[in-house]
Amino acid sequence: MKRKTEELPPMVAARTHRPTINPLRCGQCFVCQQGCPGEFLREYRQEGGSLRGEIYRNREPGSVPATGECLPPAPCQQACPLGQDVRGYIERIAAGKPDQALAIVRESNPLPSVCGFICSRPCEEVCLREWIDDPLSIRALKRYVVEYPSVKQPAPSSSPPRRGKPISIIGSGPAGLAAAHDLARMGHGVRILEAHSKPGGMLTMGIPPFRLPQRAVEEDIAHIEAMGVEIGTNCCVGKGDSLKTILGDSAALILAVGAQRSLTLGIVGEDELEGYFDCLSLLREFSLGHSLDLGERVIVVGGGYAALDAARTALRTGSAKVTVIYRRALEDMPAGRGEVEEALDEGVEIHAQSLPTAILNHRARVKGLRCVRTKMGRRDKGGRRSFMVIEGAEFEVEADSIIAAVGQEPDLSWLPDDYPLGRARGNALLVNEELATTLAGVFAAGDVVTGPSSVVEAMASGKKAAQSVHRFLIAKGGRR
Amino acid sequence: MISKACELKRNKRVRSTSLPTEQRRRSFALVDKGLSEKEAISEASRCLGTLPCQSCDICALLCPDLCITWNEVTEQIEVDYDYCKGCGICAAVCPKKAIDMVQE
Repeated sequence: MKRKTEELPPMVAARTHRPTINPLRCGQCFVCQQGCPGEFLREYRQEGGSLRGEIYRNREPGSVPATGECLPPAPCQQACPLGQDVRGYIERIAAGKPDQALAIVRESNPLPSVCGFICSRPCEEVCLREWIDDPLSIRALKRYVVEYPSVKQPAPSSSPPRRGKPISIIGSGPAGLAAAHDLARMGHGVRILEAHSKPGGMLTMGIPPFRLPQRAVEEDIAHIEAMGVEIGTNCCVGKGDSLKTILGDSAALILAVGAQRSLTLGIVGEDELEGYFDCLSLLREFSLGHSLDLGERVIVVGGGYAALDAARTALRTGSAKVTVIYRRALEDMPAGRGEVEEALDEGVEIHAQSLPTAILNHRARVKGLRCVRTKMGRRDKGGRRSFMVIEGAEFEVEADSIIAAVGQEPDLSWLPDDYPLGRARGNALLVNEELATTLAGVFAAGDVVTGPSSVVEAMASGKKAAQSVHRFLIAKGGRR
Repeated sequence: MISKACELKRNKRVRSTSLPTEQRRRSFALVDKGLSEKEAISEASRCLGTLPCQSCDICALLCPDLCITWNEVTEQIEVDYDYCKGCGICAAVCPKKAIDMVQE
Protein backbone atom coordinates (compact mmCIF):
# COMPACT_ATOMS: atom_id res chain seq x y z
CA MET A 1 0.00 0.00 0.00
CA LYS A 2 1.42 3.33 -1.07
CA ARG A 3 0.69 6.15 1.29
CA LYS A 4 2.13 9.55 1.84
CA THR A 5 3.75 8.51 5.10
CA GLU A 6 5.56 11.82 5.48
CA GLU A 7 2.26 13.67 5.48
CA LEU A 8 0.03 11.46 7.61
CA PRO A 9 1.96 9.06 9.87
CA PRO A 10 0.08 5.90 10.77
CA MET A 11 -1.94 6.04 13.93
CA VAL A 12 -3.12 3.42 16.37
CA ALA A 13 -6.63 2.94 17.69
CA ALA A 14 -7.23 4.50 21.10
CA ARG A 15 -7.05 2.14 24.06
CA THR A 16 -10.07 1.51 26.22
CA HIS A 17 -8.50 0.82 29.64
CA ARG A 18 -5.31 1.98 31.26
CA PRO A 19 -3.28 0.11 33.86
CA THR A 20 -2.28 2.44 36.71
CA ILE A 21 0.32 1.37 39.23
CA ASN A 22 -0.33 1.97 42.93
CA PRO A 23 3.17 2.53 44.34
CA LEU A 24 1.98 1.69 47.83
CA ARG A 25 1.05 -1.81 46.79
CA CYS A 26 3.75 -2.41 44.17
CA GLY A 27 6.39 -4.75 45.47
CA GLN A 28 8.50 -4.34 42.31
CA CYS A 29 8.27 -8.03 41.43
CA PHE A 30 8.44 -7.07 37.72
CA VAL A 31 5.96 -9.76 36.75
CA CYS A 32 3.95 -7.12 34.93
CA GLN A 33 6.96 -6.05 32.91
CA GLN A 34 7.95 -9.59 32.03
CA GLY A 35 4.41 -10.40 30.98
CA CYS A 36 3.86 -7.25 28.88
CA PRO A 37 3.07 -8.08 25.23
CA GLY A 38 5.54 -5.35 24.26
CA GLU A 39 8.25 -7.74 25.38
CA PHE A 40 6.89 -10.59 23.33
CA LEU A 41 6.49 -8.44 20.24
CA ARG A 42 10.22 -8.71 19.65
CA GLU A 43 9.98 -12.37 18.73
CA TYR A 44 6.53 -12.08 17.25
CA ARG A 45 7.50 -9.41 14.77
CA GLN A 46 8.26 -11.94 12.05
CA GLU A 47 5.72 -14.61 12.96
CA GLY A 48 3.44 -16.09 10.31
CA GLY A 49 -0.22 -16.90 10.64
CA SER A 50 -1.11 -14.25 13.20
CA LEU A 51 -2.61 -10.84 12.87
CA ARG A 52 0.27 -9.23 14.72
CA GLY A 53 2.84 -10.79 12.43
CA GLU A 54 0.86 -9.66 9.42
CA ILE A 55 0.78 -6.11 10.71
CA TYR A 56 4.46 -5.83 11.47
CA ARG A 57 6.02 -7.88 8.66
CA ASN A 58 7.10 -6.26 5.40
CA ARG A 59 6.16 -2.76 6.41
CA GLU A 60 8.04 0.17 4.92
CA PRO A 61 11.02 1.12 7.08
CA GLY A 62 10.06 3.80 9.54
CA SER A 63 6.35 3.10 9.39
CA VAL A 64 6.65 0.80 12.40
CA PRO A 65 9.10 1.55 15.22
CA ALA A 66 12.23 -0.53 15.56
CA THR A 67 12.11 -3.85 17.37
CA GLY A 68 11.69 -3.53 21.10
CA GLU A 69 9.76 -0.29 21.05
CA CYS A 70 6.07 0.36 21.33
CA LEU A 71 4.04 2.07 18.65
CA PRO A 72 4.51 5.82 19.07
CA PRO A 73 1.81 7.90 20.72
CA ALA A 74 0.00 10.60 18.74
CA PRO A 75 2.12 13.66 17.84
CA CYS A 76 0.25 15.88 20.32
CA GLN A 77 1.05 13.47 23.14
CA GLN A 78 4.69 13.27 22.06
CA ALA A 79 4.99 17.06 21.91
CA CYS A 80 3.53 17.57 25.39
CA PRO A 81 6.30 17.78 28.02
CA LEU A 82 3.87 16.04 30.40
CA GLY A 83 2.93 13.38 27.84
CA GLN A 84 -0.79 13.93 28.35
CA ASP A 85 -3.18 11.56 26.58
CA VAL A 86 -4.59 14.37 24.44
CA ARG A 87 -6.57 12.20 22.05
CA GLY A 88 -7.98 10.28 24.98
CA TYR A 89 -9.51 13.28 26.72
CA ILE A 90 -10.62 14.95 23.50
CA GLU A 91 -12.47 11.77 22.57
CA ARG A 92 -14.27 11.92 25.93
CA ILE A 93 -15.22 15.58 25.34
CA ALA A 94 -16.59 14.68 21.91
CA ALA A 95 -18.61 11.93 23.58
CA GLY A 96 -20.08 14.54 25.95
CA LYS A 97 -18.31 13.22 29.07
CA PRO A 98 -16.17 16.13 30.36
CA ASP A 99 -15.84 14.60 33.84
CA GLN A 100 -14.17 11.51 32.38
CA ALA A 101 -11.99 13.82 30.28
CA LEU A 102 -10.87 15.62 33.44
CA ALA A 103 -9.93 12.31 35.05
CA ILE A 104 -7.71 11.53 32.04
CA VAL A 105 -6.13 15.01 32.19
CA ARG A 106 -5.44 14.61 35.92
CA GLU A 107 -3.57 11.36 35.31
CA SER A 108 -0.58 13.29 34.00
CA ASN A 109 -1.32 16.98 34.66
CA PRO A 110 -1.03 18.27 38.25
CA LEU A 111 -2.33 21.77 37.34
CA PRO A 112 -5.09 21.29 34.76
CA SER A 113 -6.90 24.58 35.44
CA VAL A 114 -3.73 26.61 35.04
CA CYS A 115 -2.85 24.79 31.82
CA GLY A 116 -6.35 25.40 30.47
CA PHE A 117 -5.57 29.12 30.48
CA ILE A 118 -1.88 29.71 29.91
CA CYS A 119 -0.23 26.62 28.47
CA SER A 120 2.16 27.45 25.62
CA ARG A 121 0.43 24.71 23.57
CA PRO A 122 3.26 22.68 21.99
CA CYS A 123 0.57 20.09 21.14
CA GLU A 124 -1.29 22.42 18.79
CA GLU A 125 1.85 23.07 16.76
CA VAL A 126 2.10 19.41 15.73
CA CYS A 127 -1.62 18.58 15.44
CA LEU A 128 -2.11 16.46 12.32
CA ARG A 129 -5.39 18.20 11.62
CA GLU A 130 -3.24 21.08 10.36
CA TRP A 131 -2.78 19.14 7.11
CA ILE A 132 -6.52 19.17 6.54
CA ASP A 133 -7.69 22.58 7.81
CA ASP A 134 -6.66 23.98 11.21
CA PRO A 135 -5.05 22.39 14.27
CA LEU A 136 -7.43 21.72 17.16
CA SER A 137 -7.85 24.32 19.92
CA ILE A 138 -6.53 21.86 22.48
CA ARG A 139 -5.96 24.42 25.23
CA ALA A 140 -9.48 25.83 24.85
CA LEU A 141 -10.84 22.29 25.14
CA LYS A 142 -8.91 21.70 28.34
CA ARG A 143 -10.26 24.95 29.74
CA TYR A 144 -13.77 23.83 28.82
CA VAL A 145 -13.22 20.64 30.83
CA VAL A 146 -11.91 22.34 33.96
CA GLU A 147 -14.63 25.01 33.85
CA TYR A 148 -17.50 22.65 33.11
CA PRO A 149 -19.97 23.44 35.90
CA SER A 150 -21.24 19.95 36.70
CA VAL A 151 -17.76 18.45 36.73
CA LYS A 152 -17.02 17.25 40.23
CA GLN A 153 -13.34 17.29 40.97
CA PRO A 154 -12.50 13.64 41.50
CA ALA A 155 -11.77 13.23 45.20
CA PRO A 156 -8.06 12.70 45.79
CA SER A 157 -7.19 9.29 47.15
CA SER A 158 -7.33 9.25 50.95
CA SER A 159 -3.94 10.11 52.32
CA PRO A 160 -2.06 6.96 53.24
CA PRO A 161 -0.14 6.77 56.52
CA ARG A 162 3.11 8.71 56.17
CA ARG A 163 6.14 7.56 58.03
CA GLY A 164 9.41 9.25 58.75
CA LYS A 165 10.49 12.69 57.70
CA PRO A 166 8.66 14.54 54.93
CA ILE A 167 10.16 15.61 51.64
CA SER A 168 10.68 19.38 51.57
CA ILE A 169 10.18 21.44 48.44
CA ILE A 170 11.36 25.03 48.36
CA GLY A 171 9.19 27.12 46.07
CA SER A 172 5.51 26.65 45.22
CA GLY A 173 5.58 27.53 41.53
CA PRO A 174 4.54 25.11 38.77
CA ALA A 175 7.66 22.94 39.25
CA GLY A 176 7.32 22.69 43.04
CA LEU A 177 3.57 22.02 42.90
CA ALA A 178 3.98 19.36 40.21
CA ALA A 179 6.71 17.62 42.21
CA ALA A 180 4.60 17.78 45.39
CA HIS A 181 1.56 16.40 43.56
CA ASP A 182 3.43 13.41 42.15
CA LEU A 183 5.28 12.64 45.39
CA ALA A 184 2.04 12.80 47.38
CA ARG A 185 0.42 10.47 44.88
CA MET A 186 3.32 8.07 45.35
CA GLY A 187 2.57 8.06 49.07
CA HIS A 188 5.24 10.36 50.44
CA GLY A 189 4.76 13.07 53.01
CA VAL A 190 5.47 16.43 51.36
CA ARG A 191 5.75 19.98 52.64
CA ILE A 192 6.26 23.05 50.47
CA LEU A 193 8.01 26.16 51.74
CA GLU A 194 6.94 29.37 50.04
CA ALA A 195 8.56 32.74 50.68
CA HIS A 196 5.54 34.85 49.72
CA SER A 197 2.22 35.07 51.48
CA LYS A 198 0.41 33.15 48.72
CA PRO A 199 1.50 29.90 47.04
CA GLY A 200 1.78 29.64 43.26
CA GLY A 201 5.03 31.39 42.42
CA MET A 202 4.84 33.10 39.04
CA LEU A 203 1.26 31.89 38.67
CA THR A 204 0.11 34.21 41.46
CA MET A 205 2.92 36.77 41.41
CA GLY A 206 3.56 37.17 37.69
CA ILE A 207 0.72 36.39 35.37
CA PRO A 208 -2.00 39.08 35.40
CA PRO A 209 -5.68 38.18 35.94
CA PHE A 210 -6.79 39.01 32.41
CA ARG A 211 -4.83 35.97 31.24
CA LEU A 212 -5.02 33.66 34.26
CA PRO A 213 -7.81 34.10 36.84
CA GLN A 214 -6.66 33.47 40.41
CA ARG A 215 -9.51 31.03 41.00
CA ALA A 216 -7.85 28.63 38.52
CA VAL A 217 -4.61 28.65 40.52
CA GLU A 218 -6.50 28.34 43.81
CA GLU A 219 -8.51 25.36 42.54
CA ASP A 220 -5.39 23.47 41.50
CA ILE A 221 -3.57 24.25 44.75
CA ALA A 222 -6.62 23.22 46.81
CA HIS A 223 -6.62 19.91 44.98
CA ILE A 224 -2.93 19.34 45.75
CA GLU A 225 -3.44 20.33 49.41
CA ALA A 226 -6.33 17.85 49.61
CA MET A 227 -3.84 15.14 48.69
CA GLY A 228 -2.04 15.79 51.96
CA VAL A 229 0.62 18.29 50.87
CA GLU A 230 1.39 20.92 53.49
CA ILE A 231 2.13 24.39 52.14
CA GLY A 232 3.88 26.77 54.49
CA THR A 233 3.79 30.39 53.32
CA ASN A 234 6.05 33.24 54.45
CA CYS A 235 8.95 30.80 54.96
CA CYS A 236 11.87 32.68 53.55
CA VAL A 237 14.71 30.16 53.44
CA GLY A 238 18.02 31.76 54.25
CA LYS A 239 16.46 34.44 56.46
CA GLY A 240 14.42 32.32 58.88
CA ASP A 241 15.18 28.62 58.76
CA SER A 242 18.55 27.91 57.30
CA LEU A 243 18.89 25.38 54.52
CA LYS A 244 20.86 23.10 56.83
CA THR A 245 18.06 22.74 59.40
CA ILE A 246 15.51 22.13 56.65
CA LEU A 247 17.71 19.47 55.10
CA GLY A 248 18.14 17.84 58.52
CA ASP A 249 14.35 17.68 58.99
CA SER A 250 13.67 16.21 55.54
CA ALA A 251 14.04 12.89 53.81
CA ALA A 252 14.99 14.77 50.63
CA LEU A 253 14.91 18.32 49.35
CA ILE A 254 13.80 19.74 46.02
CA LEU A 255 14.83 23.27 45.11
CA ALA A 256 12.21 24.77 42.81
CA VAL A 257 12.89 28.44 43.37
CA GLY A 258 12.49 29.55 39.75
CA ALA A 259 14.28 32.30 37.87
CA GLN A 260 13.47 35.37 39.92
CA ARG A 261 16.08 37.92 38.95
CA SER A 262 15.27 40.19 36.01
CA LEU A 263 18.07 40.77 33.55
CA THR A 264 18.94 44.37 32.80
CA LEU A 265 19.12 46.18 29.49
CA GLY A 266 22.88 46.49 29.79
CA ILE A 267 22.83 50.29 29.67
CA VAL A 268 25.03 51.97 32.28
CA GLY A 269 23.18 53.59 35.16
CA GLU A 270 19.75 52.44 34.02
CA ASP A 271 18.40 51.18 37.32
CA GLU A 272 19.24 54.35 39.22
CA LEU A 273 16.78 56.42 37.19
CA GLU A 274 13.34 57.24 38.46
CA GLY A 275 10.75 55.66 36.19
CA TYR A 276 12.78 52.55 35.44
CA PHE A 277 11.13 49.26 36.44
CA ASP A 278 12.01 45.65 36.01
CA CYS A 279 9.15 43.59 34.72
CA LEU A 280 9.01 40.91 37.42
CA SER A 281 8.92 43.24 40.42
CA LEU A 282 6.37 45.40 38.61
CA LEU A 283 4.04 42.45 37.96
CA ARG A 284 4.59 41.24 41.52
CA GLU A 285 3.71 44.65 42.98
CA PHE A 286 0.61 44.67 40.85
CA SER A 287 -0.48 41.17 41.94
CA LEU A 288 -0.07 42.20 45.58
CA GLY A 289 -2.60 44.93 44.91
CA HIS A 290 -0.21 47.88 45.15
CA SER A 291 -1.09 50.84 42.97
CA LEU A 292 1.22 51.61 40.10
CA ASP A 293 1.89 55.03 38.65
CA LEU A 294 3.61 54.51 35.35
CA GLY A 295 2.67 57.84 33.75
CA GLU A 296 1.03 58.50 30.42
CA ARG A 297 3.61 56.99 28.10
CA VAL A 298 5.21 53.63 28.88
CA ILE A 299 7.90 51.70 27.03
CA VAL A 300 8.33 47.96 27.55
CA VAL A 301 11.56 46.42 26.28
CA GLY A 302 11.34 42.72 25.40
CA GLY A 303 9.24 40.27 23.40
CA GLY A 304 8.27 37.46 25.76
CA TYR A 305 5.05 36.66 27.57
CA ALA A 306 6.16 38.78 30.54
CA ALA A 307 6.80 41.81 28.31
CA LEU A 308 3.32 41.68 26.81
CA ASP A 309 1.78 41.06 30.26
CA ALA A 310 3.52 44.17 31.56
CA ALA A 311 2.46 46.22 28.52
CA ARG A 312 -1.17 45.16 28.81
CA THR A 313 -1.13 45.73 32.58
CA ALA A 314 0.22 49.26 32.02
CA LEU A 315 -2.57 49.93 29.53
CA ARG A 316 -5.16 48.79 32.05
CA THR A 317 -3.76 50.88 34.90
CA GLY A 318 -4.38 53.99 32.85
CA SER A 319 -1.36 54.66 30.67
CA ALA A 320 -2.47 56.15 27.37
CA LYS A 321 0.37 55.06 25.11
CA VAL A 322 2.23 51.79 25.59
CA THR A 323 5.05 50.87 23.24
CA VAL A 324 6.85 47.53 23.12
CA ILE A 325 10.42 47.61 21.81
CA TYR A 326 11.71 44.29 20.49
CA ARG A 327 15.07 43.69 18.82
CA ARG A 328 13.99 40.95 16.40
CA ALA A 329 11.08 40.84 13.93
CA LEU A 330 7.46 40.56 15.07
CA GLU A 331 7.20 36.88 14.08
CA ASP A 332 10.30 36.04 16.16
CA MET A 333 8.67 37.14 19.42
CA PRO A 334 8.82 34.35 22.04
CA ALA A 335 5.30 35.29 23.18
CA GLY A 336 2.44 33.35 21.60
CA ARG A 337 0.74 34.61 18.43
CA GLY A 338 -2.60 34.89 20.20
CA GLU A 339 -1.13 37.07 22.94
CA VAL A 340 0.61 39.36 20.41
CA GLU A 341 -2.64 39.81 18.47
CA GLU A 342 -4.62 40.52 21.63
CA ALA A 343 -2.06 43.12 22.71
CA LEU A 344 -2.18 44.82 19.28
CA ASP A 345 -6.00 44.80 19.40
CA GLU A 346 -5.92 46.56 22.74
CA GLY A 347 -3.76 49.31 21.29
CA VAL A 348 -0.26 48.31 22.38
CA GLU A 349 2.23 49.57 19.78
CA ILE A 350 5.00 47.15 18.91
CA HIS A 351 8.23 48.50 17.46
CA ALA A 352 9.89 45.34 16.20
CA GLN A 353 13.51 45.28 15.00
CA SER A 354 14.55 48.02 17.41
CA LEU A 355 17.41 47.80 19.87
CA PRO A 356 17.66 50.22 22.83
CA THR A 357 20.99 52.03 23.00
CA ALA A 358 20.48 54.72 25.63
CA ILE A 359 17.94 55.90 28.15
CA LEU A 360 17.22 59.62 27.81
CA ASN A 361 16.79 61.28 31.17
CA HIS A 362 16.17 64.65 32.69
CA ARG A 363 17.23 65.25 36.31
CA ALA A 364 17.54 61.49 37.00
CA ARG A 365 14.04 60.87 35.65
CA VAL A 366 13.32 58.77 32.57
CA LYS A 367 12.39 60.92 29.58
CA GLY A 368 12.64 58.47 26.70
CA LEU A 369 14.56 55.74 24.97
CA ARG A 370 16.99 55.98 22.08
CA CYS A 371 16.85 52.95 19.81
CA VAL A 372 18.50 51.81 16.63
CA ARG A 373 16.85 49.81 13.85
CA THR A 374 18.07 46.28 13.21
CA LYS A 375 17.88 43.96 10.23
CA MET A 376 17.41 40.24 10.43
CA GLY A 377 20.12 37.72 9.57
CA ARG A 378 20.32 33.94 9.31
CA ARG A 379 18.97 31.41 11.75
CA ASP A 380 21.41 29.91 14.23
CA LYS A 381 21.43 26.29 15.41
CA GLY A 382 18.73 26.98 17.98
CA GLY A 383 16.42 28.29 15.24
CA ARG A 384 16.58 31.93 16.39
CA ARG A 385 17.49 34.51 13.83
CA SER A 386 20.46 36.74 14.37
CA PHE A 387 20.08 40.49 13.92
CA MET A 388 22.42 43.28 12.90
CA VAL A 389 22.29 46.95 13.83
CA ILE A 390 21.69 49.31 10.90
CA GLU A 391 24.25 52.10 11.35
CA GLY A 392 22.74 55.55 11.65
CA ALA A 393 19.13 54.35 11.76
CA GLU A 394 18.52 55.79 15.20
CA PHE A 395 15.26 57.06 16.59
CA GLU A 396 13.91 58.22 19.90
CA VAL A 397 10.69 57.36 21.74
CA GLU A 398 9.48 59.59 24.55
CA ALA A 399 8.31 57.94 27.73
CA ASP A 400 7.52 58.55 31.39
CA SER A 401 8.59 55.08 32.42
CA ILE A 402 10.55 52.18 31.00
CA ILE A 403 9.91 48.53 31.89
CA ALA A 404 12.73 46.08 31.19
CA ALA A 405 11.44 42.60 30.32
CA VAL A 406 14.47 41.16 28.60
CA GLY A 407 14.71 37.86 30.45
CA GLN A 408 15.33 36.35 33.85
CA GLU A 409 17.87 34.19 35.57
CA PRO A 410 17.84 32.17 38.80
CA ASP A 411 18.56 34.19 41.94
CA LEU A 412 20.68 32.09 44.28
CA SER A 413 21.99 34.93 46.43
CA TRP A 414 20.18 33.42 49.45
CA LEU A 415 22.46 30.36 49.36
CA PRO A 416 25.49 30.68 51.62
CA ASP A 417 28.69 31.07 49.57
CA ASP A 418 30.31 28.03 51.15
CA TYR A 419 27.32 25.81 50.43
CA PRO A 420 28.51 22.85 48.35
CA LEU A 421 26.00 23.20 45.48
CA GLY A 422 27.55 23.27 42.01
CA ARG A 423 26.53 26.08 39.66
CA ALA A 424 26.00 25.86 35.93
CA ARG A 425 25.90 28.49 33.20
CA GLY A 426 23.53 31.42 33.57
CA ASN A 427 23.53 31.25 37.39
CA ALA A 428 21.55 27.97 37.27
CA LEU A 429 22.12 24.99 39.56
CA LEU A 430 24.30 22.17 38.28
CA VAL A 431 22.31 18.92 38.06
CA ASN A 432 22.73 15.51 36.45
CA GLU A 433 20.15 13.80 34.20
CA GLU A 434 18.24 12.75 37.32
CA LEU A 435 17.99 16.40 38.42
CA ALA A 436 20.17 15.63 41.46
CA THR A 437 22.46 18.45 42.57
CA THR A 438 26.01 17.93 43.73
CA LEU A 439 24.74 17.44 47.30
CA ALA A 440 23.24 14.02 48.13
CA GLY A 441 19.51 14.13 48.72
CA VAL A 442 19.10 17.61 47.22
CA PHE A 443 17.34 17.83 43.87
CA ALA A 444 16.40 20.81 41.72
CA ALA A 445 13.56 21.37 39.26
CA GLY A 446 12.06 24.03 37.03
CA ASP A 447 13.51 27.35 35.95
CA VAL A 448 16.34 27.19 38.50
CA VAL A 449 17.76 24.36 36.35
CA THR A 450 16.67 25.29 32.83
CA GLY A 451 16.51 29.06 32.98
CA PRO A 452 13.20 30.74 32.12
CA SER A 453 10.84 28.32 30.37
CA SER A 454 7.11 27.74 30.07
CA VAL A 455 4.71 26.57 32.78
CA VAL A 456 4.30 23.17 31.19
CA GLU A 457 8.07 22.62 30.91
CA ALA A 458 8.56 23.61 34.54
CA MET A 459 5.84 21.14 35.54
CA ALA A 460 7.49 18.37 33.51
CA SER A 461 10.76 19.13 35.28
CA GLY A 462 9.01 18.96 38.67
CA LYS A 463 7.46 15.61 37.81
CA LYS A 464 10.87 14.29 36.75
CA ALA A 465 12.40 15.44 40.03
CA ALA A 466 9.59 13.65 41.90
CA GLN A 467 10.49 10.40 40.13
CA SER A 468 14.17 10.88 40.98
CA VAL A 469 13.41 11.57 44.65
CA HIS A 470 11.20 8.47 44.78
CA ARG A 471 14.01 6.31 43.35
CA PHE A 472 16.52 7.96 45.70
CA LEU A 473 14.40 7.14 48.75
CA ILE A 474 13.86 3.55 47.63
CA ALA A 475 17.62 3.13 47.08
CA LYS A 476 18.18 4.57 50.55
CA GLY A 477 15.96 1.81 51.89
CA GLY A 478 13.40 4.10 53.45
CA ARG A 479 10.50 2.08 52.11
CA ARG A 480 10.15 -1.67 51.48
CA MET B 1 -17.99 -1.69 1.29
CA ILE B 2 -16.06 0.80 3.29
CA SER B 3 -18.39 3.34 4.81
CA LYS B 4 -17.35 6.75 5.98
CA ALA B 5 -13.87 5.38 6.52
CA CYS B 6 -11.98 8.38 5.30
CA GLU B 7 -14.66 10.96 4.86
CA LEU B 8 -13.10 14.15 6.06
CA LYS B 9 -15.05 17.35 6.03
CA ARG B 10 -12.89 20.41 6.04
CA ASN B 11 -14.01 22.72 8.82
CA LYS B 12 -12.08 25.48 10.47
CA ARG B 13 -11.20 25.49 14.16
CA VAL B 14 -13.74 26.90 16.58
CA ARG B 15 -12.43 30.13 18.03
CA SER B 16 -13.44 31.18 21.50
CA THR B 17 -14.86 34.69 21.79
CA SER B 18 -12.87 37.48 23.40
CA LEU B 19 -13.98 40.39 25.50
CA PRO B 20 -14.60 43.49 23.32
CA THR B 21 -11.50 45.67 23.03
CA GLU B 22 -13.05 48.76 24.69
CA GLN B 23 -13.95 46.73 27.77
CA ARG B 24 -10.49 45.16 27.93
CA ARG B 25 -8.62 48.47 28.08
CA ARG B 26 -10.21 49.49 31.36
CA SER B 27 -10.67 46.24 33.24
CA PHE B 28 -8.65 43.28 34.36
CA ALA B 29 -11.40 40.84 33.43
CA LEU B 30 -10.39 37.65 31.66
CA VAL B 31 -9.96 38.34 27.94
CA ASP B 32 -10.69 34.88 26.55
CA LYS B 33 -14.28 33.83 27.20
CA GLY B 34 -13.78 30.11 26.54
CA LEU B 35 -15.90 27.61 24.62
CA SER B 36 -19.55 26.75 25.12
CA GLU B 37 -20.60 23.12 25.43
CA LYS B 38 -21.77 23.00 21.81
CA GLU B 39 -18.56 24.61 20.54
CA ALA B 40 -16.38 22.30 22.65
CA ILE B 41 -18.07 19.13 21.40
CA SER B 42 -17.90 20.23 17.77
CA GLU B 43 -14.22 21.20 18.18
CA ALA B 44 -13.37 17.94 19.95
CA SER B 45 -15.08 15.99 17.17
CA ARG B 46 -12.54 17.39 14.71
CA CYS B 47 -9.76 15.38 16.40
CA LEU B 48 -8.47 12.70 14.06
CA GLY B 49 -8.37 10.32 17.03
CA THR B 50 -12.17 10.29 17.04
CA LEU B 51 -12.49 9.32 13.35
CA PRO B 52 -13.64 5.78 12.59
CA CYS B 53 -10.74 5.00 10.22
CA GLN B 54 -7.31 5.45 11.77
CA SER B 55 -5.39 4.41 8.61
CA CYS B 56 -3.91 1.43 10.42
CA ASP B 57 -3.94 -0.47 7.09
CA ILE B 58 -4.76 -3.77 8.77
CA CYS B 59 -7.66 -4.30 6.32
CA ALA B 60 -5.36 -3.80 3.34
CA LEU B 61 -2.70 -6.13 4.73
CA LEU B 62 -5.17 -8.94 5.34
CA CYS B 63 -7.21 -8.58 2.14
CA PRO B 64 -6.75 -11.84 0.19
CA ASP B 65 -7.42 -10.05 -3.09
CA LEU B 66 -5.21 -7.03 -2.42
CA CYS B 67 -8.07 -4.79 -3.45
CA ILE B 68 -7.98 -2.21 -0.62
CA THR B 69 -5.69 0.57 -1.74
CA TRP B 70 -4.79 4.14 -1.01
CA ASN B 71 -5.94 6.55 -3.69
CA GLU B 72 -3.22 9.14 -4.11
CA VAL B 73 -5.51 11.59 -5.90
CA THR B 74 -8.47 11.64 -3.53
CA GLU B 75 -6.22 10.78 -0.55
CA GLN B 76 -8.78 8.25 0.57
CA ILE B 77 -8.74 4.53 1.17
CA GLU B 78 -10.86 2.66 -1.39
CA VAL B 79 -11.96 -0.85 -2.36
CA ASP B 80 -11.59 -2.18 -5.89
CA TYR B 81 -15.02 -3.80 -6.25
CA ASP B 82 -14.01 -5.46 -9.56
CA TYR B 83 -11.83 -7.86 -7.58
CA CYS B 84 -13.43 -7.92 -4.10
CA LYS B 85 -15.14 -11.28 -3.45
CA GLY B 86 -16.87 -9.96 -0.36
CA CYS B 87 -15.14 -12.31 2.08
CA GLY B 88 -15.59 -9.84 4.97
CA ILE B 89 -12.11 -10.23 6.52
CA CYS B 90 -11.56 -6.47 6.36
CA ALA B 91 -14.77 -5.76 8.27
CA ALA B 92 -13.95 -8.46 10.83
CA VAL B 93 -10.43 -7.23 11.59
CA CYS B 94 -11.08 -3.46 11.59
CA PRO B 95 -10.32 -2.41 15.18
CA LYS B 96 -12.52 0.69 14.92
CA LYS B 97 -15.37 -1.13 13.11
CA ALA B 98 -15.20 1.42 10.32
CA ILE B 99 -16.10 -1.12 7.62
CA ASP B 100 -19.68 -2.30 7.12
CA MET B 101 -20.67 -5.26 4.94
CA VAL B 102 -23.59 -4.01 2.82
CA GLN B 103 -25.95 -6.39 1.02
CA GLU B 104 -25.78 -6.22 -2.81
